[in-house]
Amino acid sequence: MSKHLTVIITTALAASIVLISLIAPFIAPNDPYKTDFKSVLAEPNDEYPLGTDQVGRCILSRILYGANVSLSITFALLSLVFVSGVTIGIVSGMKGGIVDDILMRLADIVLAFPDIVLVIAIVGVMGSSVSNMIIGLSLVWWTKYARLTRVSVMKAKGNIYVSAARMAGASDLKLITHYILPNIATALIVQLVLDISGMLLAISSMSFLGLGVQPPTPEWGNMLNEGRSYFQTAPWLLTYPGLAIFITVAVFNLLGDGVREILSREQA
Amino acid sequence: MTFAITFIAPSDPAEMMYFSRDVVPTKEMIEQAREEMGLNDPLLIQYGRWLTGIARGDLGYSYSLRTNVSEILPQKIEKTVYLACFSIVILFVVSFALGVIAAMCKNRVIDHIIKILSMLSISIPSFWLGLILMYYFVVQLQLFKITDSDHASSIVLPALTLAIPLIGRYTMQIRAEVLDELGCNYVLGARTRGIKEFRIIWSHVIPNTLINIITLFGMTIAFLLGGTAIVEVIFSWPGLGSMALDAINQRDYVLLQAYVLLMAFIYVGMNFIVDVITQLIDPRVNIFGGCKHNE
Repeated sequence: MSKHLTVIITTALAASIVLISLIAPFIAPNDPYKTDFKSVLAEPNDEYPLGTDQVGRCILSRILYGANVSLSITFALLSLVFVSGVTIGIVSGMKGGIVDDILMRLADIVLAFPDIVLVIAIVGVMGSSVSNMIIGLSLVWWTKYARLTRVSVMKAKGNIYVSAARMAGASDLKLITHYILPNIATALIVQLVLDISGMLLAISSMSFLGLGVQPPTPEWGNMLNEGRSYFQTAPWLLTYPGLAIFITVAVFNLLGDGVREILSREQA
Repeated sequence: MTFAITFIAPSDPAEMMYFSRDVVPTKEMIEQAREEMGLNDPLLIQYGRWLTGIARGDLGYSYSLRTNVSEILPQKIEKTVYLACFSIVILFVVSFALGVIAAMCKNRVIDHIIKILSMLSISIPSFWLGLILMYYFVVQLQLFKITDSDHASSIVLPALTLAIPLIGRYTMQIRAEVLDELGCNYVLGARTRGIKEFRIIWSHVIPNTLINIITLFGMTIAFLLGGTAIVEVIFSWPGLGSMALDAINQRDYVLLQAYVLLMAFIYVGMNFIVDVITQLIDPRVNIFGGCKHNE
């Protein structure tokens, strides 16, 4: 029961973070791009609740807009790698044989490199931009879902009801959509929820290294990077964007854990 | 794979070499340089040359640093390995201590505190953690020097930054493992024979949990290696990670190639070592694909 409560609370928290990011333009006190040279590096005050940065932009507004940027990239990327990874995994698991071999060798090549290192290399070579970061991250992340799906599909394929459906004349497509996917969906969705925080961290890490979202677009990671040089005199440049990442990641972590526990108990 | 990186690169290495020397190149100069660097040869020949180069330990010439890559790599590797080893030590000591304490005090206040702390430590972004640590310990308290990487105490903060996000995960895992073991019959047997709780944990439970922890370690190596890049940039630690980032800024793909190749080698090598250790500790596991004997 208490587990259900945790999940409800964390879902509410996660939903409110998403909501805040969506209505950011309406609640932000200032324009996140407007520079105010009269109050550069101002401490938190009435006009700028969380202070201003090195060119006098409102930190609170930038964090709110940053939430929008960070979260939308996170969810877009996750859906992209989820759909492509699951599709590849299903194809690989259903077809077997040479198709399976080729796809899995491709995944092995990617997996031979530590993931962040590979993304850094890909983005580094192609040039730093959001689209290149998305390409880099998705090239690395699809393997995760592809492998998980492939294993689950192969396991599910061995069930008697699948053979029965096949004997009854179900096509491959029908087998997948009606019999296999519903059975493996739980595991995949748990993994997806668990990965939200990881993806968010990966994106802000890349932006922090200057390889992701480029300034002046506000993103939590690149706000930290920009504020880095001023942290001795203006620590609020670092505190608040960092806190934003920290809280968001913590909430999604808790949500993932809760969902996993509930669903795995239901399955058992 | 690593070789492919140079070909998806949009800019011409020969051109970049001149730009890095602040010369605006003419068409003829570029053409000549391309000829010298062998860039006009067909792809396969270039690839073959690159592979044989690696086999001979020659990773090419870095035009941003103006030395051979293989000459500067050893000192960079040393720095990174030093950093990684130090944080692995911190990681194991702290998480074993916390995990065992949490397991022994299951469901008491201290267990909950440790649980919350590890949840927080998993969520903290390492680049932020590094900056915060730097702010408090260097700027406010002036405890450590970080500008000088040869100074002994300068490694503490980078290593901590690298270790803390992993400590949470390990602590929870160790707690679960220890609890599993404590429920086994041999622990009950030892208790009835009047052996002290501390001795049971130290000489029976911990060795038994080691094997799973080492498997977990195998899975986090990638995180650790990737993490070094971020941590090195924050603390200006002159290791492989910051070298790679500099290489990106300088468009020095030879250097970047060396980094990616080396990381892959370290990664695969470490995984192999972990597998071997697992088998040494527990002969039931056969890494060479034989059937696994269950008890």
